[in-house]
Amino acid sequence: MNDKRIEDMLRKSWSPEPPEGMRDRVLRGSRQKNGDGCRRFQFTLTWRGALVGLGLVLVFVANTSDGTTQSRLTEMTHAGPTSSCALVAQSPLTLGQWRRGVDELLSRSGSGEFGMKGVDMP
Amino acid sequence: MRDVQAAATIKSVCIVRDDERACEGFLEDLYDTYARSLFRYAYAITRSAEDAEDVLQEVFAKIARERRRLISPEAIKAYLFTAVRNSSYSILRTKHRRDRFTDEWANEAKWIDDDAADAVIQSHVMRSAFAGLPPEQREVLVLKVYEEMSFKEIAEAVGSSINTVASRYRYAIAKLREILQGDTHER
Repeated sequence: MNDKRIEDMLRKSWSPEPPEGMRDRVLRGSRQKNGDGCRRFQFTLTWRGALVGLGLVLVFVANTSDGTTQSRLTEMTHAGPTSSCALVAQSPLTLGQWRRGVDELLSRSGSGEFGMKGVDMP
Repeated sequence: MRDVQAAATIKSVCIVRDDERACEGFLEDLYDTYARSLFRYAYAITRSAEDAEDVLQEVFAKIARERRRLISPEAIKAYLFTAVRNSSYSILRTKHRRDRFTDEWANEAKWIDDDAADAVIQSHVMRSAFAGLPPEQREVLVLKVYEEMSFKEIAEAVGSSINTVASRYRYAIAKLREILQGDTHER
């Protein structure tokens, strides 16, 4: 009994066919799972869009408020009579410098330099 | 020849693979071209029609999800056989069926021949002998006998060396011969 004969016998003896209805089941199953995948993908896509939008809004708000703060500081710098205000607006200060600046302002307000002579500070 | 036509069809579908309807056609094409071979391959490894169907379900669902990765239609056949193999062995491992002999083939497999009682008996003996081989030998036999793959192609599909694959084939054939001749002598 040579190899070819055994192969032929095997072919004739065993040739399983896919069960009836398997085509529909397999294709339906893969379509459903693919559909789930698509929906998941759409969901992710929607949320990703929303997050990007939210991020843009936050950046815009941050920039706007930053700009407003900056312009207020600039206004204060130009309107302020003292050089210490200009110093406050223009350069980043340490806590100690801030405190000295505030003390200086308080002492000036106390001495009536801002037209508040006689008004006691609490 | 059919593979070449199928590859051409699939290739044309692959180009428009973002089209949902084309993708359904793509899966149907794949199924119609390869399902019978893949089912037989999965069945040879798992020895269960139910498990073989589960394997195909899993593989086709995977293709539906990952079809955008299937760039080369020519490689689809190899991809499918490898996917079926992996999934089949995974089921075998899960169910611990590897060494358990079931007589399912004798009940489920279709009688192809024939009126003569001898041929029927021989066919039954052959199926039982085939079912009794280790899965590694069964899969090599199926790829060689039914898919007419070369040892080199089989080696690539199962991820072993050509020598290993060739010796699995030789052992399998020798075992079948021994059982069949033993049965003939007994009768």
